[in-house]
Amino acid sequence: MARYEIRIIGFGGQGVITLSKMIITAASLYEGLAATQTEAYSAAARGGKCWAEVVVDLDQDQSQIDYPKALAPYDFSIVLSEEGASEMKKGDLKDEKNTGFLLWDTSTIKKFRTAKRVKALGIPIQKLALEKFGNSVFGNTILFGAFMKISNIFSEEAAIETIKKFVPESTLDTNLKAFEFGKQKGEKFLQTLMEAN
Amino acid sequence: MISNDEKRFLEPGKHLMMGNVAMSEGALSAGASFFGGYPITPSTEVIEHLSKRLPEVGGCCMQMEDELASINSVIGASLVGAKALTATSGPGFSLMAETISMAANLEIPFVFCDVQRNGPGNGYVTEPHHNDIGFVRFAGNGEFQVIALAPMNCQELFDLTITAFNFAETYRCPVFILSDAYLGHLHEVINIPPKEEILKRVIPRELPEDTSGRMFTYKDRVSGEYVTPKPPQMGTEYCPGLFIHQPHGPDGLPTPKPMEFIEAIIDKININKDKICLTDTYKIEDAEILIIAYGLPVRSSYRAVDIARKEGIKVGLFRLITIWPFHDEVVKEVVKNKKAIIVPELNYTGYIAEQVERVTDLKTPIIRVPKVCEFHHPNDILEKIKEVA
Amino acid sequence: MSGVGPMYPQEKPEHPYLESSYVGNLLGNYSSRFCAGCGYGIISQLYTRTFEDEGLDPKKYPLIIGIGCYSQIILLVHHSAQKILTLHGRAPALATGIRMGNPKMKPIIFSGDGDALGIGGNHFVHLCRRNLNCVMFIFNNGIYGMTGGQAAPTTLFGAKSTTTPYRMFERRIDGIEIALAAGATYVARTTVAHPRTFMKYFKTALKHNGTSIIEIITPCITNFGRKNLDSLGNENMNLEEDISKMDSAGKMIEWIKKNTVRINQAKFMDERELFNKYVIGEFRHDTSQIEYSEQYNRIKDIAQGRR
Repeated sequence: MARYEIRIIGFGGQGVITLSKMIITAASLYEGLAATQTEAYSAAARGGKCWAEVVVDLDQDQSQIDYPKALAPYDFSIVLSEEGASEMKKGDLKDEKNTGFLLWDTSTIKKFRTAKRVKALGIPIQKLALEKFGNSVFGNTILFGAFMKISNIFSEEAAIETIKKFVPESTLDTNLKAFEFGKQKGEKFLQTLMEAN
Repeated sequence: MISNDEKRFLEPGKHLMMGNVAMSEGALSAGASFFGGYPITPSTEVIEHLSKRLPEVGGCCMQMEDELASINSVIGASLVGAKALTATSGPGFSLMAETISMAANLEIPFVFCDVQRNGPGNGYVTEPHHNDIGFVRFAGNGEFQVIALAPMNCQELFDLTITAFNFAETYRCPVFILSDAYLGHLHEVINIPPKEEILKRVIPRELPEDTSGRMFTYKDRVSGEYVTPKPPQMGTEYCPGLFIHQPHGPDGLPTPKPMEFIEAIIDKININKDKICLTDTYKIEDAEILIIAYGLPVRSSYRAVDIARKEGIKVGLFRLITIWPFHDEVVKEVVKNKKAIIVPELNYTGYIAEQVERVTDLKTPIIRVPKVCEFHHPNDILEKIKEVA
Repeated sequence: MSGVGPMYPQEKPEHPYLESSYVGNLLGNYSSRFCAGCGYGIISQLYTRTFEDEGLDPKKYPLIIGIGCYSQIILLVHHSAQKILTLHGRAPALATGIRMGNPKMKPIIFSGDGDALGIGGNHFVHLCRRNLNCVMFIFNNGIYGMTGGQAAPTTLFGAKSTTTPYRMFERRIDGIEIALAAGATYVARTTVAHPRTFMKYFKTALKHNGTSIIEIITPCITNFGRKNLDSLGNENMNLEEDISKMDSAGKMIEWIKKNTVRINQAKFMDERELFNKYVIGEFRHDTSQIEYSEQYNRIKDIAQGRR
């Protein structure tokens, strides 16, 4: 049993739920792993605090996730809003090698104390998406690329298939560029971690 | 009536789906052509999905004015030969109870998806809580027996919905699918079988060839067995003049129901328990401690059994897929000579624990593991296993 | 026959009117459980006659019957009508299911004033709103007859009943006004004292493609008439007449005739004059609205990409 607990937190409309669906699609449909996803629903999914959780099991024999809820401490936490950042403690992330990563958006969160004490990658996602690709919706794909590289749960092919499934044809090229960009960010981050060790 | 068969089935293969959607697709595969419902969290996705999909296949999805109307429209549609279903949550179910009793007594088949949430209907109410288990058993005024199925993942929500429709057609009774708030909103990959395979499993709604025969369940005088004819259809020759399952006096009006009628409604299901009561076992051959579970806690129980076995504790899992009717004989056999029985349930009352207590001898301790608004972590069950081991 | 419920009679009886009733067909005679002077006998006979005269197939017109005294109408209506007794107030919802499950059917709903306007008020409003092709009868006797004469939402102001022993102090509800406001496309009110009008309205409703609401004022002597004076409804008229209790069929029918105002006359009367009166006539006959199942067929066309 090699469970990965992933939690994404942000506010409604940022693409929290879409990102979680992309992760589970890549992991389960294209990589063939057992996975479950749950999300905030009804009123909670709009405005305010919005969250989504994904559990992936890397064990190929596992037919289903036995406990489908993501549990703290998480393996991967993606934080996109100030509120999510203030809620987060150091203990919420696993303190192990190769796991316990934090991905956060430096353009929407001003102060994130916990980020200094964990393996954290901060990217000004919203800002970069707007500057480089012309629309903040591409922020999701940047995140997806970075997540793919850092987590190493699913392959790049699976990720690209997922993007093809999720985005409209007209923006596919831009999305793939955004994905590539995110991937490079992730790679760089991993390198700096290795060097630090 | 389903007019467009092409869109009825999804592409065979793997699909990522929410539990509620998987349930709806299961219903479409089973040939459902009418849905009457009223939005209620956490079952809303069912009506949302079906209001898109049912018109595509030529069926009808109606958002009624309240739950009372939705269940009545469902049995109305079932009366004219449509396979019908409704989906709701606990508070809606309370309103529907009256009509469920009527449908059960008139032997009108339909499928009922109860996406359970914690009650009562006010306050913070969108967490999983298996608090309708007892209500389902005795849902309404009048005596009758229902069938209730408890799936544990999205694949089963799809498969068991087809089974539920088959049970409804065969035994002519309300069949419940007991999902819950967590399962309903869970996204998982499900495997859709090819169209031919599904069609082989589905029992279609048919009229009998003999239109002058009896229309309600009766006991065959010669063989002594209960015979359940196909459901009558209004607008055809095969329909009683007065649709009421009651004898009538010399003036044609209904008279009080004798016990045979109630017997027939209840025993037609009870004598077929072997076919209806679906169960599953996991490592119970040499088990000393037995977990009896249904629904979501089964998933945690599998893990608990695995961990305990690694530590050398002989534990087994007995899973109830069909909760009602409760198969006394089978459970009695399974709980024989066990050191202890653990019943993890998503409620404090322990509706199934009570049933297990009923069939177990007094020496065997029955340990309940209640949990509300969140479900058992494998460790919760493991703890209890270690306590009794 | 015992143990299976009444069967669907296969053959048509010889006498078209008398024996075309359900019990007439079964037993060859006429019997009912209604009190002497009850209006439901008239209604069921008129119902049967309409079907016989028009030569319609009652199988396509399933009867959805609510709970009330009129539930026993099952004995007197057409022998080959398929009838289902529903729960109190839920008949319109069940009819919706029948119509949408098989749009070839045109349900006919029998409901009382308590059934349609009391417990089932919500279903009634939404049936009118949807413009579903069906006929709904509201038998208004102004009292809860079957339970023994309790005040109904339609009980006239000042009337006595077992739950209003001093007098009725609540304002009554007007089913027709609700039906009009909710958007029913054929709305009419008549009384059992006007049988030919009833048949005319019923025939129109059967041909009408949309929700038809027909309210029928019917007498309840046992629980309403015996306790009330025939001055009821004339409070503001200052008529100097002999005032007596309405304890016979004749008096009750006379009272109904006296207490109804035709819609054309009502236009020239003020609120005070119309107090506790029944306005009868055709209130709306709108054939321009699209029927619900036709509307839904359009949705199906869009969903299937045909439009």
